[in-house]
Amino acid sequence: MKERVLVVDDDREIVKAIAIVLEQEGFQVYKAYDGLQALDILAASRVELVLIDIMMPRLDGLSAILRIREKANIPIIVLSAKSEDTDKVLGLSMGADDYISKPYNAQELLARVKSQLRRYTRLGDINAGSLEQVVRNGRLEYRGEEMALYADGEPVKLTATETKIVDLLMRNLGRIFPAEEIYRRVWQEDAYACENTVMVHIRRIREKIELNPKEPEYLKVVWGIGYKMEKK
Amino acid sequence: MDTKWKKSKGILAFASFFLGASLLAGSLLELWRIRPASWAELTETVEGAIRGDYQEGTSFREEICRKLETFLIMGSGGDFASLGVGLGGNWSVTVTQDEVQMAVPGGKWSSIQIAPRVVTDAAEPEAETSSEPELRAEAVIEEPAGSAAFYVPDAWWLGEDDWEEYLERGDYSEEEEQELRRRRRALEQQRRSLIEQYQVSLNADKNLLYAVYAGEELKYSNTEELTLLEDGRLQAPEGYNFTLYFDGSKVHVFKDGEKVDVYGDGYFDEDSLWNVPGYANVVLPDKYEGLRVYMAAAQIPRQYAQNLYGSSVARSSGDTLYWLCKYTLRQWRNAFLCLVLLALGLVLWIAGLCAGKSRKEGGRLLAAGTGRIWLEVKGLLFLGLLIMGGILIREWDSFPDALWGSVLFGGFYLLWNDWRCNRGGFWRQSLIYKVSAKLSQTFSARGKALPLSKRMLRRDRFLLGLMLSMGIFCVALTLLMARCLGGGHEVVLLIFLPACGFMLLGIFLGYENLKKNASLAADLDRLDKEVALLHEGKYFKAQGAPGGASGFASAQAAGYAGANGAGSPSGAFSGNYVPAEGDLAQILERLEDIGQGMARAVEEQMKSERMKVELIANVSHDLKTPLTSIISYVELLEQEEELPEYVKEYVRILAEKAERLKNMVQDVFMVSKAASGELPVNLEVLDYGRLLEQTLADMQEAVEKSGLIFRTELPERPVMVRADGQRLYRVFQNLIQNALQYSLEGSRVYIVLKVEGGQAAASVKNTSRQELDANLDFTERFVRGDASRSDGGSGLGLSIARSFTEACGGTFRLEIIADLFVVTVSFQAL
Repeated sequence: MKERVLVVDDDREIVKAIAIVLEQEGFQVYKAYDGLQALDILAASRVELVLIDIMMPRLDGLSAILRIREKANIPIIVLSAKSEDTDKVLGLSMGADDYISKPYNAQELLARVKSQLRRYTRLGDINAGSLEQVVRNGRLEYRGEEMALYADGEPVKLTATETKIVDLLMRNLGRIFPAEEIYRRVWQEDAYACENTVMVHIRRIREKIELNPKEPEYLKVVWGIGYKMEKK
Repeated sequence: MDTKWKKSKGILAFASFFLGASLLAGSLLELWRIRPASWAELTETVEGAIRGDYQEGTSFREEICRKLETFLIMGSGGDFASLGVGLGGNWSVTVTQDEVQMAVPGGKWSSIQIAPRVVTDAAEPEAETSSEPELRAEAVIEEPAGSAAFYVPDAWWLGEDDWEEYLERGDYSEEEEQELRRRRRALEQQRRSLIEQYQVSLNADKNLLYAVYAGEELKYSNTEELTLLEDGRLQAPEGYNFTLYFDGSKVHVFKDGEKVDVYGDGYFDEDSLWNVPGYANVVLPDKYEGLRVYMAAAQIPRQYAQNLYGSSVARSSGDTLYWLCKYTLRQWRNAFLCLVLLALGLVLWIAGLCAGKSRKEGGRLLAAGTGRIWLEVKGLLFLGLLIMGGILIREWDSFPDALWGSVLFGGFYLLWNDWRCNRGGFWRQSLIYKVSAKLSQTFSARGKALPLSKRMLRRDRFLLGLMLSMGIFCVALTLLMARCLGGGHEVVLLIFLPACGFMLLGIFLGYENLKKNASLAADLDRLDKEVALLHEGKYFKAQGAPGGASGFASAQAAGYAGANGAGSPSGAFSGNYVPAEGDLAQILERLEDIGQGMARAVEEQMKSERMKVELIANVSHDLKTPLTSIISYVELLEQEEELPEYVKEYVRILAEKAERLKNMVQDVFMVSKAASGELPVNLEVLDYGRLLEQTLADMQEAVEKSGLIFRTELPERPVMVRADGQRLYRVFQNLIQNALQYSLEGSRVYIVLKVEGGQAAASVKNTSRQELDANLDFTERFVRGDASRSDGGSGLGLSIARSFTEACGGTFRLEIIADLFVVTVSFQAL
């Protein structure tokens, strides 16, 4: 079954470009060029995900999100040229599930769309929490018994060292670990000039779990202090 | 304990030095004053002081010799002229109206009071009565009326024969000669009576017993107890241990029953102790032939007095020897003590001198103590000491004169020590200085603790007070003068009353001035406060501005009105907070204009700054929308497989430039926000060194790819600073990127973190590939070392680094030393 995505933007070329990318990946794309159109389409047909711009004529994105949320809990991804943190916070607090700032990267966009859809369509009914050793954090799920990490329900392939790091960080969500501590606990050796080593592994893990490794959401550097797994 | 001993040692040393120096100075001064003529005199002094026998003294011998001479004159006929002249030399009798003043050798004076004429009735009957009774009545000298020709005082002293000759030579007229003779007779009569009185006093002086014989006839005597024994020895009463017998040619002196060698080798010279007749080289006049004189001096002279019953006066009389004894002994003792003090002083002084260092310390300690006393008090104390010394010398016989000099010197030395150690403090620690300093503070701008208006009023009040007190004194003086002068001095009053009037007018005007100044001061206060507000950046809002602005203004006005109370003449600020009248109204008005102008300017600037940021935000947003399309379609193009190779190359270039455009748009937005101070920062405590490590680790791939060598030097210990980690990461990311991009191939990049003087400074140094223009400010926006802008950077890297550093509260410094590019980012180390 083709998943249906609604793309809303007043810039027709952007809508078209996104549509091309999504259709290549096998999605069915509905196009709308303002908020009202989007609401009309949503009222008429079933849609699994909405990609919506903020600044649009007739009805802006934020108002549209509020109206959509009155009826449906489908994932909504905001796509905006406003890249400020405050804009992101505003969008997310209005009921959006994710935020992509323009100009976007096609790969990232695709990854985020897929991630949201997976969680909406598959993970929503998984019997979460039945396993004691399961740590769930946003898109990520760590199963302690298996020493396995799942992103959006898909297993992530990690090396032994990477798994140990993930094990440490996932079991201590939000806690900041200095590089020395990570090194000591993972490598079981005295830490000396370990910043580079740790950083390399962190970067590799990021490439495997983050949607945009350049702007990580989960595995974060706390500059001047250490590393942590952000608690979602 | 140790310091205590050191302290007391210093004080002891100083005290020793100080006492020694004072004693030395005092005794040397006294020694100079006495100036012993010879070594013999000095030894005599010492001996005399030890033995306490006044008869050993020179003055006693001289007195005895003089008395002998007097007795010889008396015995040989006692001419008053010869008494007066003949007794000259270093001894003289000055006869005044009723007093014979006698100079005693050695500088001490005693006066012999001669009883007034009335007393002569009570005198011994054997007193000479050769004077004519009729002349007695004429004993009062009458000044010849304005005739200088008759006044020839020298002639009064001439002998009878010389007098006649003088009169003849003078070629006086009969009348003048008569007058002169009469006057001389009168004076002669007076002198004779004085001699009588002198004899009376001689007779009363039982310290010196005497008897004068002419042949076998006893001419004068004040005793019957003197009898001649064999070989010139005299039998004297108890208590008289000194006897002198003049046998007509020689004297025989016995002291304590033993004969005294008077003549020595028999010739008189200046060293001879006894100036008496009988030397082989001294011829005795004929008229003294056949005269014999008996004399005996008391061992301890007493003061004899004539008690004049009925006149309630006891008059001392004939106590020459008493005073002589007293003064001789005193002099000896004084000189002796002076020598003793000299020796003591020398010892103490040398002892103090030896303790050089601790003495100086002691001096400083003492000066620290004396430095606290007011100069005036010191002066009074010094004066008091001097006066007390003077009183002691006069009133207390055994007080050595040398001590007075010592006190004088000691006082000066203490003052000098004080001055030397305390310098300026010596003068400042005085009542006069303090009062004048207070006054000058009142009038100078130094009293800045007080607001200007208070200072102004204080000065005015002081002046008015001064004038008021002057006025009071003036009025009091006028009243006093009116009372004391009474009639006849109305002119003075006429001058003084207007003066008083002017003074009162002055006071009145001064008061008025004070009132005016009070209001002026209140205005000044307002001015001061408004200027202060301006200075603090609280500008006045434009009048009539709505909302908060007018609220601000009225709050200000209320504040002023409250602060100044009822003192404001125009009833404080009524809506407009500038007083309508008053000397400063215009200034205040203009100041308000300035304030409003500034407020407008600042507001406009803020507005334009906000607009700028908004504009840039909008522009960057508007740029992003087409950019998004460009990037999206370039990406789609890149996915096309069937494109010819050269088209793929075009697409690759398009993608690259689109990416750069995207970065630039983001940077421009960021830097404009940072520049307008709207960049949100999240300050937290972090380890600066770790941040650098992490940044380097994060950029490791790029670093390895660049082929540059990175040298890092970070402290072992964590260096905690307060900053926004995310922003600071961006700063160093930019700096390292800058280094990677512009460094000479294969050169080294140094990253050093140091903590110096509470500042944690991290520096990035790299050698530029291109020649750097030292005049270029690389942190300006869009400035690049490469003017062609052909490289990949946005030209905003350093600008962002600087803005972010400053937003975090750090300092960003860029140095260019030839090709070395040094950036230092420093923060306050915690």
